Parts: sequence; structure tokens; C-alpha cells
Amino acid sequence: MQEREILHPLWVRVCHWVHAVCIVLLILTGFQMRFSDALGMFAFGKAVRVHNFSGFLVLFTLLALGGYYGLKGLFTRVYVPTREDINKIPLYANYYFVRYFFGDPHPFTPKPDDKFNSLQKVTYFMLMFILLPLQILTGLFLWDPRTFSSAISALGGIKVVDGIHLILAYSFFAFVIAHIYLATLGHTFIAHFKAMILGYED
Amino acid sequence: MKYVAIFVMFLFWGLSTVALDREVCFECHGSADILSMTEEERLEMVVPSEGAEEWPQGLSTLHVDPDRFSRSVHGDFDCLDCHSDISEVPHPQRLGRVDCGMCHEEVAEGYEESGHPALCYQCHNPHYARPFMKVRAGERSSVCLTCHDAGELSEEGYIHSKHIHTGKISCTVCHTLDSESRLVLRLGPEEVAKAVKGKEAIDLNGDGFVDFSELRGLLQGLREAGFKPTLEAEVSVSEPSHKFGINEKWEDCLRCHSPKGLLQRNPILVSPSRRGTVLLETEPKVVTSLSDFYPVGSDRFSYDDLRELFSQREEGKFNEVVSRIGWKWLDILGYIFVIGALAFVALHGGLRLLTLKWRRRHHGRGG
Repeated sequence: MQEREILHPLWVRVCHWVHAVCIVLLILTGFQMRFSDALGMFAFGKAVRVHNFSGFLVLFTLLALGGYYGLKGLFTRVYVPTREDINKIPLYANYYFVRYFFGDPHPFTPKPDDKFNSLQKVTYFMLMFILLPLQILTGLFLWDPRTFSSAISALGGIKVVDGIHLILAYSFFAFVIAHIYLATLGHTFIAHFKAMILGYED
Repeated sequence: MKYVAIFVMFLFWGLSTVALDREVCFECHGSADILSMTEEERLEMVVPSEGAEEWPQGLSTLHVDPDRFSRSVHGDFDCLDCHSDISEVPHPQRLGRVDCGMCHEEVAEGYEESGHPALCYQCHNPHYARPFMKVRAGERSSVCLTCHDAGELSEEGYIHSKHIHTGKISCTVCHTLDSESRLVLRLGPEEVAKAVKGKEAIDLNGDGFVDFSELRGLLQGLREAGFKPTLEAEVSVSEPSHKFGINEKWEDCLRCHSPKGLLQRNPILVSPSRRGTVLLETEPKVVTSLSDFYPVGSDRFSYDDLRELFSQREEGKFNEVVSRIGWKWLDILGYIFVIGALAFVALHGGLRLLTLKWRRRHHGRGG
């Protein structure tokens, strides 16, 4: 029997699913807090506690994920887009928005040490290593505004910090919607989901 | 100086209290030297009180700064108005306890019911008492925290553990049973008083209320005059009450963290001015313009904002609504993001469904 190539190692899959659960909880509890009078999913106090706990878990799993790829020496190769990646964006955009509907095969074959196409690389790098850290940082400031009061003042006040946190939250919500949908674009409807559970694609 | 004080005391020795006004009292108590005297020296200045009850030490001391006393809310009183057991100088060594309830009857009754053991002056210094609304939330809470340990409280519950709560909300908001709480907006720094003539400089139309444009005008004027005005928000009780206990209605987080909570009530603007502190009600909308105050969930773009925006025909008013909405515009941007993502899924998914048969027939690819 041919040994299957592991695309997503166990550690990465665990981090991904912990992230997934936490991000969903963060979105739900975040909305509960912002629309406190209109939604009834959680009591306000519970929403705050779940939000804070999930936020810290995301911080730790992000460090664990980044640390894993860093130790393996794969971080740059997997996540950091090159000039070539930037140049190839139109090719993949054309695939997703046009060629896909003609039934063309995906122009990219993922490998364990190079598993994201240019569009994914740019998106994930931006989201996970620029926007998510910014979101975590602003979340930390909002978690304890008194301890971080000087940083909050330097940014222009708590409303500025909350504004950044809020707009990033909406961005992550929009990303999750698109991400779940795009995950169904594998060679079967559930191929990518299966890969993120078992580690390999059929 | 202490010898002068002793001399003055001898000067009054034997005189009955024909005119015992506060200047007489300040001859001894108005100088800090009284604190550096020995007990024996002080005993020579009074009539020894053998066996009289000694009251616990509190914030009131033998020394009262005459200037600070004059500026306090009790500054128009004479000492004997409260220390009524003095009839002559030298007075007895041990005096009776001042009954604050003579004036503050309701507060004293409520306090007695609360079962707190401390005497009034152990928490408050009546000689330097300031107008109630001038005392900040943090200062009010610090009175409670002289006995109640902040560390222990933070272990008891989440609300206490959040420093922002103890700094911006006075303990009495949640821990008095009959108090009315309001959002208080404090205009600072104190120097802006030089540029604010009085009430009429803030409430321009004289309706006893500061609306959004009046407040914006005030801040703008202060900036143009070279000041850096700040507006600090906090939640405090608006009338003194000592009926302490746990006010269960404040256990509901949504009293602050909801647009339908505390922020629906008119906040009180506290402004320094050349003629003293000005207190005026203002509209909840002004809170939107504060960059350093935001109880999570208290404010977001709403249908009312949209309606107000579309109902404004005058350009000036329209711009004012746009400016007042402030950070809430981010909700609109956020809705666009989310709707955009959903629209992408719907469009792409729709096209996918429409082309499914074709793709299967020509390439054997589904999904």
C-alpha cells in the first residue's frame, strides 16, 4: 500500500481546530457583547469570560503554530509570500472566479513544505501574522485597559483600540464565511475538510 | 510657634465664650505646630478630662488648615456649630462625638442600618469636605478601600477584579440600595476654568441643558484658546446615600453594557469655571464623541442613527449627525465586509450549481 503524504501534521491540525473553535466562539461572544440587548446567546458576563478565555487560547495556539513552523524551518517557505507569489495572484484569481466554472483542474498541487498557493499565502500571511496579532494585541488592551492605559492613550484612546478590534473582528467574520466556503472547492466537497482532520487528501 | 499657641491659650484662659468664633479656635488648631507638641504640652492647653470617653482616631486631626476649611462645603460654619459641647476656652481635653446626623439625618440613618462600625470622621474629613459631585469615582471608592481590601475583593468576583470598574465606577453605584447613578463627564484640566466664565459660557441658549453642539463648541473654543481640554467619564451616584448593601439591579451587566442602560439617561457635565464648579445635564449622544470611554456594548450604529441621518435636510445639521455617529461608522463598514463575504458565497455557489452539470459532463468534476 502506498504511504499517503501528510499535508497537515497532527500539531498543525490540532492548532487549526482549536483556532477554529475559538474564532467561532470569539465571533459569537463578540457579537453578543456588541449587540448585548438584541442577542440572547450568552449572558453578558459569561460572554466576556468565554471571549477572554478563547482570546488567550488563540494567542497560545498562534504561538504554537508559528513556533512549530519556525522550528521546522518552514515558516518562510509556507507562509511568507515571494515576489513570484505576488505575480501569480492573477492566475489563481482567474482560476477561482473564471476557470473553475469551466471545470479546469486546480493549477496548484500542495506539498507539505509548500502547501499554499499564492492567494492563500498572501491571505494567510496577512490574516495570521499581521491582522491576528493586531487583533490579539488590541484584545489584550481591552481585556485590562488600566494596565495598558499608556499604550491605549498612545493609540488615541479606548475607542480607537475598540474600533480597530471591531473592524478586524468583522474582517475575521467575513474571512471565516469565505474560508469555510472555499474549503468546499476541493476535488470533492469535503476533501479539504477531510485533509484537515486526517492530515492527507485522497 | 507652639509657645505662641500656649500664650494665646493663656490669653483666653478664664474667659467665657462671649465670642468664640472660629478664629479663636484657629489660634491653636490652625497651625500644624500643635501636632509637634508633646502630650504634656497639649494637656496644659486644655482642661483635663478624667475618665471621659476617648473616641477612636479618624481622619480629623487636631490641626485644621484654615484655608482648606474655608474652601470646604462646611467652610461657612463656625467650629462650635458642630463641636457644640465647647462653651469656653480652654475647652475640656476630651470632647463629645460630633453628631453628623444633626444635619445629614437621612444619610446617618441609612448608614446605621448598614451595620458599618466606623464613625463618620474615620472615613471622611469634615473639615475638608468637597462638593459631592466634585469628588471623583476613584476618590469615592478609595474611602471604602481603606477598610475593604482591594486584593481580597478582586478574588471574590469578576467585577471587582477588573480595575477599570473600580477606577471608573464608585463602589456606591452598586453598593447603595437607594441611590441614583449617572454618567459623569468631567471637563479638565482644572486650568480651563480660566477660559470658562461660568454656566452661560457652556449652556449658550440658557435652557439648562448642554447639547452636542454646545459641548463641541466649548471644546473647540478651549482648544483655540490654547488649552488641551479633556473629558473624562465615570459612573457615580448623584446624591449621597449611605444605605450600603448590594444593589441587585446593578448585578445586571446590561445596565451599563447596553444602549438601553445607563447611557439612556442624561449624563452630568462637571466643568470648572471662574465662578466655581458648574454642573449641567447633557445629552447621552455626547458620549459618542469621547475617545477614552466606552463600556463595551453600550453604543453601536443603530436604526435611529440611520433615520436621523436621512431626516436631516440642512447641511450643517447633517454634518453634525455624521460627526456624532463617529466610530459607529465602523459597524457599517463591518456589515459591508460580512455582506460582501455572503454575497461572494452566494454568487460563487450559485454559479457553481448552475455549471455543475456542464462540468461533470465535460470534465467529470463536480463539487
